[in-house]
Amino acid sequence: MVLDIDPQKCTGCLACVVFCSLQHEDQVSTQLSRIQVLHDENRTVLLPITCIPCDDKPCIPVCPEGAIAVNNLGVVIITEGLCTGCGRCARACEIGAIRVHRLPGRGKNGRLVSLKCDLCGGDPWCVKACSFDAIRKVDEMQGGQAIYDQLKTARRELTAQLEDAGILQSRRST
Amino acid sequence: MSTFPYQGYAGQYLRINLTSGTISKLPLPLEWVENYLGGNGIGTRILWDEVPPEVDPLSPENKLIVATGPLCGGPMPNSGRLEFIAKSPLTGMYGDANAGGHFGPELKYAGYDLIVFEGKAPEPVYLWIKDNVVGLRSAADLWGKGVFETETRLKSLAKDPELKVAAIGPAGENLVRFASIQVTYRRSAARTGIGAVMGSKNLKAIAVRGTGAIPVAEPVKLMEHSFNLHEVIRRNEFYPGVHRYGTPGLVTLMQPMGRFPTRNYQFGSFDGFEEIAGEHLREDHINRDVSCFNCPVACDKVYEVTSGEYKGVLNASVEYETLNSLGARICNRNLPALLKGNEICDDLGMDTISAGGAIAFAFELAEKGIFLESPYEGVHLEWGNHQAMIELLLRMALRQGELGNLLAEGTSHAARILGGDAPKYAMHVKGQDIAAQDGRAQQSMGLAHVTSSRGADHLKAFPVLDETGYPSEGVRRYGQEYMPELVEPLAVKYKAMLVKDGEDYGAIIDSVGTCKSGGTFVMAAIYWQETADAIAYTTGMEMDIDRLKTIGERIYNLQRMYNAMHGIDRKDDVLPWRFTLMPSTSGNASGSTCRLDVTLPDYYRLRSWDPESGLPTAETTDRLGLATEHLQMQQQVESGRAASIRAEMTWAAPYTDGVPAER
Repeated sequence: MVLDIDPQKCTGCLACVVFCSLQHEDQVSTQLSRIQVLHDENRTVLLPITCIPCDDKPCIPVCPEGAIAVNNLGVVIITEGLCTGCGRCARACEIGAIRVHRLPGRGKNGRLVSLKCDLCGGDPWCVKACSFDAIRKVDEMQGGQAIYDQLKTARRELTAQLEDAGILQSRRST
Repeated sequence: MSTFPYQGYAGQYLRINLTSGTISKLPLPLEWVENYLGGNGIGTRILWDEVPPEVDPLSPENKLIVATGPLCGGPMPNSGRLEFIAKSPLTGMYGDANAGGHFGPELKYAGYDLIVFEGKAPEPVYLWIKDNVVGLRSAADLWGKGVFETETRLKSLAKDPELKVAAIGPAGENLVRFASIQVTYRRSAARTGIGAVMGSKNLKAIAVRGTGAIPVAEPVKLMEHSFNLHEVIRRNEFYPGVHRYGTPGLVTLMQPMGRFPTRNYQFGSFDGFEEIAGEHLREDHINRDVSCFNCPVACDKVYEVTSGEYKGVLNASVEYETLNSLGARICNRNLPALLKGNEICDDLGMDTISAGGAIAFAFELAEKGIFLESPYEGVHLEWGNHQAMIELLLRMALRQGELGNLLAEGTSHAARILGGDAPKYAMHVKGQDIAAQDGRAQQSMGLAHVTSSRGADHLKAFPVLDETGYPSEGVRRYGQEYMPELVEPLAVKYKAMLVKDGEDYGAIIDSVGTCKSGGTFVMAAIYWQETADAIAYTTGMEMDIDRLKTIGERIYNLQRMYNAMHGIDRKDDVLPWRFTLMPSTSGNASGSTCRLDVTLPDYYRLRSWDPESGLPTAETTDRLGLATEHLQMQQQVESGRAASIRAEMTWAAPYTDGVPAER
């Protein structure tokens, strides 16, 4: 199972973010959501980002704890009790679908933990919450890579645009 | 951690004394939450308690309250609304303005339900909030700048595209009486001149970033309940049109009703309507659909002008109201110019409704040959002159020249300054310009304009069931026994009921932090029961329809009593002559006048207000827990203090004495 994301249809409402956060954390927070929506200043560009997942899954081999694996639905799962929040998976993911959070009491060290989409066990709330069909569930094991590549390019372009506008810290070497 | 007993709230608020620079983080009083919920309700309570009637709206003693509500930032549909409350410089009495966008939720995630600004900063400042870090910073470099540049600069300083900003433009700084506060992304809290209050305090902007979380009492029930309502809205028969066109879709619907104000309300239909209609707007100018926070409707859009004289204009949230105020109201049929006008209002920070109202007033005075001859200071004051519209918007915002400075006072004040016959052409109630409805074409709207607690306004009662006729919704909300009159725009029967219920329910919606456009009034899926359940599941508070209705009624009565402290009463519940004495000549409304003589007494009766004074009775206020407040009001009225405050109001009362002789 993969998620198909069409950024053109996204309206930036964040319903996906709100329901994701409530489903996983019983509270509302844009930070704790496993999906985020990036945008430019006037929202002529909107970019929902979450794990598709991709074909290559670079997050898995880089995990020193062996905390990341694919489950029987084809979903990449982080076992929270094994995660030290080292951030290697987050850096390996080229679309930024994994984020490290400072959460007291969580993760192996009780301090830091990587959070990512688990597709809500097969019935994702982001898909249900989206009124605009910007994110859809596709019931096939393969096919995520093309969407991943599109999001990767779009994210790179958006990041450059935000950096040029001066509203995002430039990470490019000068 | 907060010990606040209810979930869904941040549980604390900020009190910022701008005079001293003192910032206090205070626990949210339970009395406020339990009796007034949040937003509009709590703001009204603070205004009553802390801003006495003798306070000048533009003095440091006025307060600006920026408030979210318990559902704001949560899963209920359209839960991003933010409320601003202060005494209004336009009306001199109770004032508020409401905006969508994404600022409200961000403020709650930062840990604050509301902010109370008091005093006046010695130099221009902005308030910076990053979670628990709160500070006042110099806005010396931002003062004089437009809203767009202000917002970009603040994001640039933060290096954070997720920063949310509420800012005034030059109009607010220049104390234009209908200045707005603009909110990320390009939404407007515009009515009652709330931006001038912010300007009078030397407060340029509020920048907020919140990375915290809001817990809810019953997550599973709340998600199920909210998601169901999202789905009901999506399935509504009107959803496809409202989603596709937003409020601009109304132009085509209002035209045949004779409810599309034209030429300063001389007519109710505009022969150029197709050129400024929603269909045309979408076809020629759509960039993409965008949403306010957690909204399944996406009535917001990004529009752009890609060619011609106004090439380069990029706009969001172009509303029906603006298509009328900068369109038909001044007979302008040039849509790109209209979009340019909207952009100017959003950037310089002005209410498009009152700005367009002031221009229509000036055009009509020139037409009638009263005070203003055309050209005046080089501006050709002629119906349909879009260049004049653009020029006047700029001059008003910057208070340039005699004319710009005069109109910056707002229609009702300018009419008072000019005197003579000028007030006859000032289309307002209690100082605030009438919005894009016509009480002759829709009786409930005429009543709503006069009973609104913030001066002429459609959104307090927001009676839409009888707009184009929603019989199915009408039956569901009120029952078969009120059909068909309830949903017939020209019928007077049951309209007082529709308006009263709308005002009480609207006060709740503005207090919990959700939207009146998507699902509560328009596409009416969410009503008393659905809202009560959402509050209960979010906060853990015991809530039922009776308690919620009492809170709504309490808020609305307190606003009425606040106005009564200023000498506002039945004598001010009037529409200008044009609506009550001149039969409409347009569309379905032809031959009709607004029958306040029938609907207003009905309304007082339903409200249990005194029919002579139009003020809440002791019996009513006792029931609402406002006995002390009623005593205060009585003393103020009986001592004559209320009347003397009313006598000092600087707007000219609407003209009601007859139909002016043709000039």
